[in-house]
Amino acid sequence: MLVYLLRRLAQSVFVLIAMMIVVFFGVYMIGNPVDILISPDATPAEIEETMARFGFDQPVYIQFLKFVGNALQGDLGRSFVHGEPAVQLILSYMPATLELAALGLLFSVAIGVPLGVYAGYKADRWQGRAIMTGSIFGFSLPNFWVGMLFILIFAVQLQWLPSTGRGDTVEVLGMRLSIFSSNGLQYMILPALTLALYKASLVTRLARAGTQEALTQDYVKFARAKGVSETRILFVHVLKNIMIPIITVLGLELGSMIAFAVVTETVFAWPGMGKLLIDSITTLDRPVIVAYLMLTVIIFIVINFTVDVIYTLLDPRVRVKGEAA
Amino acid sequence: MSTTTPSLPEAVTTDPNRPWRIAARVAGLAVAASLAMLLSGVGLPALASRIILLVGLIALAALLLRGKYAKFFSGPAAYAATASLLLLVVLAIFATELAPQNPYDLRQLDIMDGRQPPGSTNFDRSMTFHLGTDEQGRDILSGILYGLRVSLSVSIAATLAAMAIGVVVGIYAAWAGGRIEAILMRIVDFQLSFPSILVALMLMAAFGRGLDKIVIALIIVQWAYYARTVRGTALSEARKEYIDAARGLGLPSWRIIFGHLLPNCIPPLIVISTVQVANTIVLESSLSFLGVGVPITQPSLGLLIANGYGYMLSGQYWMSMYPGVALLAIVASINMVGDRLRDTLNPRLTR
Amino acid sequence: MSVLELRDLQTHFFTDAGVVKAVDGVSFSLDEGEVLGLVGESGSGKSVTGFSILRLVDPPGRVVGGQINFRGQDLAALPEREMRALRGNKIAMIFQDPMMTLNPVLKIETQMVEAVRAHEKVSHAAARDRAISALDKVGIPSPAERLAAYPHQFSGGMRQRVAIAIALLNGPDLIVADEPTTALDVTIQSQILAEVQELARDTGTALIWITHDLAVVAGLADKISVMYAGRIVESGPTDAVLTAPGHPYTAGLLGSIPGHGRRGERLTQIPGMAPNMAHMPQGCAFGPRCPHVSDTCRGSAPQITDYGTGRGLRCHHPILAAEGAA
Repeated sequence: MLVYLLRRLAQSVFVLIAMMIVVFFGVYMIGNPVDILISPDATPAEIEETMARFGFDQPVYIQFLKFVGNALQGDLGRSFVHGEPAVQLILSYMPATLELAALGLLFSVAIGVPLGVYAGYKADRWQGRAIMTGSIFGFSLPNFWVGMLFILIFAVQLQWLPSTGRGDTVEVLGMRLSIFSSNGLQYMILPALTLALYKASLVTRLARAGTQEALTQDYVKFARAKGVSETRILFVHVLKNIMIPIITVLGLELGSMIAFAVVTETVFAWPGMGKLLIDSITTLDRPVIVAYLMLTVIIFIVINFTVDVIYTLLDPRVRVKGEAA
Repeated sequence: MSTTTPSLPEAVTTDPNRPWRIAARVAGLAVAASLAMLLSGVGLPALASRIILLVGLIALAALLLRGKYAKFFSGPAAYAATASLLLLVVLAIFATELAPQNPYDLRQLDIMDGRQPPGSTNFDRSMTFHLGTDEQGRDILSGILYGLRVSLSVSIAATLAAMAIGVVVGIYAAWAGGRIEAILMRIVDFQLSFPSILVALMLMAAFGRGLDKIVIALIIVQWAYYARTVRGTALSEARKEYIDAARGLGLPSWRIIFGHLLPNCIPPLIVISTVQVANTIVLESSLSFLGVGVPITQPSLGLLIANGYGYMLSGQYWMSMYPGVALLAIVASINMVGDRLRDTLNPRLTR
Repeated sequence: MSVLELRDLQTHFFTDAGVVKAVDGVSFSLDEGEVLGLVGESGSGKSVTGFSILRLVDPPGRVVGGQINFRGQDLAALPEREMRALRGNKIAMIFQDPMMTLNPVLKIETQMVEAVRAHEKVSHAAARDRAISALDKVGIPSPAERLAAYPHQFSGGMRQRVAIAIALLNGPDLIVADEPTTALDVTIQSQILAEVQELARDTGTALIWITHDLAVVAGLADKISVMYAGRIVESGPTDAVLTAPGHPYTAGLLGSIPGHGRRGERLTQIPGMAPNMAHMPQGCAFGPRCPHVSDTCRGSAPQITDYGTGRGLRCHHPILAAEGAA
């Protein structure tokens, strides 16, 4: 178990280094790094200072080491627009994105798992087919268009929920979160649902496939032979078995949730790091783009690692194999 | 080929799939040539050649499903999806002829016609805007037809190119094995661990807008996916006995790869690439929506939606809504056809 | 009094290749505490018969005809709700492969307690106590601790014991055991056999023991029914059937068992293969493999004939009759 975790950790570090190299050569070596990291209206003194700080006069490998050193200290330059250090800026926008992604993930499980299990149970009936056709639409609906439709229906026409922006926030563990305030939650529902729709279709398909397979297993038949109710068979025996792959996939998808939040946040004017990224791209605020890239890479690595650990803990069979190894 | 070639390759080349392959090559060439002309700026192929393209595509689809129609058309949804896909493809190919207006020609647009609701007419009543107009006075219906063409051609071109690269890398990795395979597959894993939208976004932020640029970005985010799939199939094929037999006959590697390995990798690729075209359309439209996709002069469906978005909350829904419906229709019908194709062509799933 | 009486049971599978009559008119009856050995090759329909009794045949299979009278109630006509109340309660089943029958991600405790609570409104603690005593009964050491374990922490034999304990939980009137020892080691097989025999005798539970191995039922069953191609071809008291088989198929099965008192004799085997159930041969299903086959056999399928003392035979040329005539 420990050996396995250490090996995974080493792999993660390797990915991080690889990504640093890609970012470094992508951003620093192609084109003039001065243009990328220093604001166009900086004074010559500022340019001089930054050049020296990043060591652009030095050989490439020293530049790279400096970049890594600076990056490790959380220094990836200053935002031209906001004037703050880029990393801090992104970190201050991050809680909004994370809570949105988390609620989206929750919605996608809450919608996708029951639908998928039911579709698997009624696989050859019209109910199952209808759910599967519906899930194709879930896949096909572009994120931004769903968001617009939701705004049009629920905010403009029905006026049930607020259209754009973020509501009240509550400070929890030093982060400003709106998920714990009822007003803030109202603002979250539409964007989170939008974000959840694609994943909900994915979960539906996974849950259906898993259910179909599990239902042919002897343990389901044995449970039936025990006289256990169909509901219990589906939502205890089957669900417990299919949750492992679903959680694995969803965990991995948390990263892509954060990535897709870029679109959703733009539609709903949600002040998260995705919106910040788009704004930075439009205003050519490159240090923020670089910082966003590096931070998302780290998030992805952490997610992948955590998913592996959870997976190991969830599946008693894997646990034993790990201990034996 | 010299006369010393053993007789087996002849037997292999005269297999029943030969007409299928020839048709596939011809249709593939037609698609590639049309896309290249369109995207390289040479311009639209002549009407006649586009008719040939359409016929070729239909023939290709018919050959692909030969003998499996009953399985493919399993229910009303399959018919509806196929019909709608065919209709949309026809609309896209003949957009120039069908559209009431050339939405890319700024001289034809009149700012006075801007933001007209569906059904209104222009100044001298010479034209009716059935789906309304956008803020520049562009007919939404014409915009949708042209946008459909942009969306489809960009994503098909990107998918085909990515597939070609992926096939080469995947087969090479499977064939070479050892360290080369390990390194190539590490790169593939590395790339696939990041969501495509993020990678594409970054690339477009670096490249700037442009049809050619978005195609390149979409190729870069997709190739690894094909490489992984092809390698998997190629590895399992390479283990089969007929490959050993071909090697035993002393056939050159390239002949085994192109004559034996590659044809067997194609059925799963067709299914994947169909669905992938839909995904690419969504990706392209998302990028265009975010303002880093196609240029403003050649709006795709995504850009049309983005342009209308600002007016949506004030009740002028048609600018975004109708392009969105078109986008949904094309993506959903491709996905549904892809779903049926998977069920029809994938022998592993057949019970 | 009879616990179970099957009358002309028909279970068919509606496949793409055609209708497969997996069970085609099976009848037998079983008294309280009686043990029936249901014997046949794989594909003979013996397992499907077992699953039909519990109405657990998977699609595309379906019970299409006949009666399953359990304590005077026809199970074939029972609503699903009432059927579920019987399963695991009055009729229990033990499956073939103990590695597959227990849910890998649920604790033994969960899987046993739910079996009790599906039928009785008892507290978790009470159900747990009953689970412990059931585990104890089937010879699982320190049952209270073992309840917290997952199935993979048990060996195959232990898992089958757990499955048997689950079957015993609600004191059923009938247990259908579908080759429960086939997947186990020979030593464990005989242990479990002995234990089940004892349990059945103690509790007065009727038992249907499905197996392909005549040797297994020899010491266990009170009576035997031999199935071939979805039909019972011979039935009767165990001793009678084993000492004087009437059907050539039974004789063939017996001839292929190495046994006592036959040292030095050549083991025989039945030539050919079990028929393709989608394309049954004309006339007697066993005809193509039968040493005594005649034109009568090829022309018409034999009916079951009563030979008294509970013996029935489905053969145009039974060995009994041949001997009697000679």
